[in-house]
Amino acid sequence: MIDVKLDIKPIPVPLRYQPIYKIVMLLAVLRFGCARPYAATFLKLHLYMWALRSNENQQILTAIKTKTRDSVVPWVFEPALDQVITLAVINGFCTRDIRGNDLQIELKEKGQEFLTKLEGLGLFAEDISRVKDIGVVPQSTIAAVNKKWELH
Amino acid sequence: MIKLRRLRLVILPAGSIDTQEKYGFDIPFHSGLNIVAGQNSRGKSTIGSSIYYALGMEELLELGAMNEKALGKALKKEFETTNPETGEITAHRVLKSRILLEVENDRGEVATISRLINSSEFDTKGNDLKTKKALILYSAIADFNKDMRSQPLFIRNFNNNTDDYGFYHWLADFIGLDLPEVVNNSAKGRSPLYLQAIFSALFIEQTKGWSEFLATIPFFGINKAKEKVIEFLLNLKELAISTERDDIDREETRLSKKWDQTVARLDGLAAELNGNIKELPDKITSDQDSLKIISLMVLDEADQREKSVGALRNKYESELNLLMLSPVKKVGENKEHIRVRLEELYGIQIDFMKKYEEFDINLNLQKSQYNNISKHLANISKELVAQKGIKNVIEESILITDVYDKCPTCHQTVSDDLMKSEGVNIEKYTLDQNISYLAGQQGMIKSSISSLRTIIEEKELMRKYYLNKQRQLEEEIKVILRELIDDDRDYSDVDSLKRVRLEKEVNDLKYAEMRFERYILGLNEVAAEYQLLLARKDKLESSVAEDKLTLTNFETVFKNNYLFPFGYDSNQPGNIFIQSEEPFKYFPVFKFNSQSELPQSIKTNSSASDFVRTMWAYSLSLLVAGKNHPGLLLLDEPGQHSIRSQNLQTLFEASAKIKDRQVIILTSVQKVLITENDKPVDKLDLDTLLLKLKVDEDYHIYRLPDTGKSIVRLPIN
Repeated sequence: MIDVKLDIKPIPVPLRYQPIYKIVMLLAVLRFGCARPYAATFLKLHLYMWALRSNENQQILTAIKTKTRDSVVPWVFEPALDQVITLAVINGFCTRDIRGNDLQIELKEKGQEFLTKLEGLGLFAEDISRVKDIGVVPQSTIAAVNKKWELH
Repeated sequence: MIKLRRLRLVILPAGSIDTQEKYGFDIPFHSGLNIVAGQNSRGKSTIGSSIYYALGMEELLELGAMNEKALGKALKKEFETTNPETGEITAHRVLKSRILLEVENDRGEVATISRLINSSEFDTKGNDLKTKKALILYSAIADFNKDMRSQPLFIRNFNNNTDDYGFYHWLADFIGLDLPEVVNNSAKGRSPLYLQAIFSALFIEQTKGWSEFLATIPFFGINKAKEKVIEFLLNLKELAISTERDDIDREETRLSKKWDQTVARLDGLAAELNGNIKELPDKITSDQDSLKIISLMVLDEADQREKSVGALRNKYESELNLLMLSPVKKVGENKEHIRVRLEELYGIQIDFMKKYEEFDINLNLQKSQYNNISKHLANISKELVAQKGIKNVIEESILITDVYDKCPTCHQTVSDDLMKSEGVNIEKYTLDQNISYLAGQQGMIKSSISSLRTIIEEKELMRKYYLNKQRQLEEEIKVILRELIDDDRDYSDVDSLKRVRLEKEVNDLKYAEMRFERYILGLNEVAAEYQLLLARKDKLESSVAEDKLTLTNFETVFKNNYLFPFGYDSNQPGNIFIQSEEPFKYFPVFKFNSQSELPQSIKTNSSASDFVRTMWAYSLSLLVAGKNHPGLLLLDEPGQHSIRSQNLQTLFEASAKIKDRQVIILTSVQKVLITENDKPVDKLDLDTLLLKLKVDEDYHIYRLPDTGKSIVRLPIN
């Protein structure tokens, strides 16, 4: 008999599963993708996270912002967003508040300081600048386009 | 060579009105074995450290300690004397103290080094102001007079090993040592091999000194300092040739690179012509004859055989000449002939197209592969940067990671493992592992990209050749087709086309030949330079052989004269070697056989007492076999660990045999060496050990008083 033993080998963790990276991206979206008081709904955060996944996605969100299109393609949620937000809340970077009828995530001073420090060190500069490139897309626009899905 | 002749300590006590009241010691030294014997805490170490201090070697007593700081307080602050009759103990404070060391070299010159230990002048931090200098008096202590020549020297100035006012420079000069230059990392380049480093092989301090070879060597930034010291002491050629060796290595790399570049050009040329290079040596060579037979082989389309460029050009040239001589044919005369040729051309073209298609598909495949990999590389590089960013975030501790497990609202555990939420439950790499994994991937992809790029570049050249060939075929077919419907009385174009083509072919080949010749010339130049380099290397090898001989002799002396006679028994003689390469270069090692490439440290392969025996043997071997050895060896308390008294006796006897050099041994008179069940089974008794030796002939002894200490009232001279 051949005795087969399987050893579980540790695997590398891709960037999109690194909590710190995700927290940084979340804070960047809140700071550079939202108007004061730097707060956003889950829907908006999910859409931004999706847009940051690839250049094609980013172009679609940019087109929505410049009003050259009024629909979205089928898109996906960010599965770990909930957990990432919790981690950010624990670190005191943002808060979860109910505002109007929506649960909103709001960037706090500590989160801003964290971002400033990162910029000072030049860390994640490229990723943060991608969020800056997209800029602020109003909540209402996002809600409107999400009602209309198109394949292209 | 240096010989100590007399060591005199002079202390002026504080509060004395009698100017003749001086304390200290006065010890004579002679060639051969000198023993300073005394019970514990009688002041043996005081005498030992006085010698270190007088020679400016106090750094070897305690690493980093300089000047009077390295010395015990008896020499600089306070000391006790005992009245030998009444046993009464008197304490004295030191007002001033000075050490005098009378030395002689093998040129017969005598000098006395005078260095203050306590000058009673201090700076605000309590450092003595005058201990950084020494005064050299060119006279024996007994002959001191007003007219003797003297010279102050600096021990702590910047260039104390090289400058004329530097003490170590003077000392090296006096001993007759020509200190070599060595690579020094701190001095940004080169520095002399400092005398203090050399003396760490001569002075074995009583505690640290026995723990390792050259244990007390100070750090001066010298590269592989211990190796350099041994190289110097044994006068190995390696010391001088190491720079030359570096030089040669660098030159060799440069020539290999040049060679490879030229070969790459040759390969490019061959690819352009769809040919290959024959008899090319696979690596750099100095043999210029072997370059003569290199040839560029090209396929002759006519008979599908490979010919050298020159041969093919000759063939084309003669064809061209033939064509020029024959009269221009009319279309009608040529028709039969060109029909056959057309058939032939069609055949060639179909074959060719097939081949080309295959080649092109392959090339495109590789190109798209290249693009894919490049994209992948960009992704990996991006991930790598981000992961490093995360690492920075953690290192700068801008983010607190250990609060992750307590949610402020629900007090539940929150894992920072995002993969878990996707159902992946497996051990993950840590951040550092992740980074090194990505870096590994990046390196691998980079190397495959670069090799893919060379292949693609080469194939692009071949593609050009193919396209060119194809165009030629098409042209010829076109001309033939046209001629087939032309009027029979017209002049035929086929031959003129052929002529033009042949002319071009000949020109192309001529040009290729020229380039080929130029590259071969380049290779010849490299080969000539390489030959010179090999000659230099050969010379180096002969020095290496000389060194090998020196080391073999050293090994024989070490093993046969000292180590095994001293009772070393942890290993067989056949397993002990003096290592001639890294690691443990020049030091004794344990090996399974002389060819073994896995030397093991002698320390871990020997018992503690056997390591002490090794130290004795190594130090004595250096003393007798070292051509550049200053001729002085100081062993402080060699009866370490559980050494047998019988072996100590051998050490004394072996040292006594070395008449033309000087061995100074500081030793206890009585000391228990080995205990078993709390009962002493072997003890050191100096008188028994010296039984076979004649005093003042085989050895000289200075006994410290049985009562009191080494510092006594000095007689008025």
